[in-house]
Amino acid sequence: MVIVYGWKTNIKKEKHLGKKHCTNCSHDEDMFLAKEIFKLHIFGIPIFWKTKRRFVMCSNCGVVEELNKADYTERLKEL
Amino acid sequence: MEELEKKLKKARSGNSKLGIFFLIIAVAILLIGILQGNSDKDSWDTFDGMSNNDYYKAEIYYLVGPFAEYTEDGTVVEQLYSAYTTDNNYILVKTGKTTDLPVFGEDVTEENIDLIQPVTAYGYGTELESEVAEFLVQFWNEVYEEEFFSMSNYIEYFGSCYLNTIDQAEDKVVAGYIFAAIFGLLALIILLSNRKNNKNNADILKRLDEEGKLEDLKNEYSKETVQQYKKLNLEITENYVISYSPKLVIVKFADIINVYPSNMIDGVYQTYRYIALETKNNEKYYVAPKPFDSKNAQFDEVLEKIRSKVKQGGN
Repeated sequence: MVIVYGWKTNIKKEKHLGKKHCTNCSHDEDMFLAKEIFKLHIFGIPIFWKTKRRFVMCSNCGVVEELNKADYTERLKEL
Repeated sequence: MEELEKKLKKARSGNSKLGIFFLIIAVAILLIGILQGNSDKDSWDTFDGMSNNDYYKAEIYYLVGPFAEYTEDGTVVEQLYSAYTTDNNYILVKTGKTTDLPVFGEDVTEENIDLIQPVTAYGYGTELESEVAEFLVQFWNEVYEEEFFSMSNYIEYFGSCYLNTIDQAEDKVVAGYIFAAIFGLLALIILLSNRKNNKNNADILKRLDEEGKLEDLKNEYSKETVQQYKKLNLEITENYVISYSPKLVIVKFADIINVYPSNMIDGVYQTYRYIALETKNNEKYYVAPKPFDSKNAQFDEVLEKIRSKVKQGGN
């Protein structure tokens, strides 16, 4: 039997932080609290996933500020 | 100057060699398939019971047996028979679960045996395993009701090989067509993407030429002041940044108004980190790709160098 498997990296935007000035690209862009999640799947069904990083994401340039789990959770609660 | 032209030419040709290589393989497999498919089965040699590793034919009156069956999950999938041929001797034949060849005791009886017309069977000559030969010896000794056949004399009567009628040349031809299609598709994808790259690269060079920058760049390139960053596929001259990956980009520092690291391309998140270059013409280019997590000192060095050049107004 052929086993169809693969992996991919997804982005999960958890909170919209509004339009802000990005310190990385100097654009005024939508900012998000987001997670990068690595997923391993068999027949299209995810069987393993791991959060690789949590960060403040600029919709123009991507990762602006990486956060640890505690800071990320704190920032989520603040909103 | 020649070195730059060589590099630009290489950037334009991209993976065309790989695409052409796949195309040649696809055509070769296709031609072999067509030749095999067109080969006249009737011109195949007659199976003599001793030959293997080629395709043969045999004129068979009827099959006797089976003396051995191959099973999968308790179901018979293949059978081995002795076959009486127009040469008035026996050969061994492998069939599937069922066979169109007449079988003695089913299609052929003592009453109609003289009326039977020979049927041509085609197959691949294959060596008979000794463990299976033991079943052959046992089968015929039971038919004769005496220990006439043995492991030392069965070859004289039945040969050492069997004609595998399941293995038809057409099957290999079909498999060949499938492989040819796969390689052909790969070649098509590579060549089409290459064509797109070539067009992009040609447009860049044409535009540089029209703006009078190409000669300027070529002259600069010959001054041996070019800084090469091989890990990033990038070069920096006095006034230009040249990137060969992910696609050819040539930008003059004086035209750049903003530089920053980015892992978004056109709003899509990437697992690679790039250096984004924004120009005064509202164009955005991505150069120097590196996996997000990898440490690459050249990336930071190039980023700082471009930033500093841009701050100095491109000088």
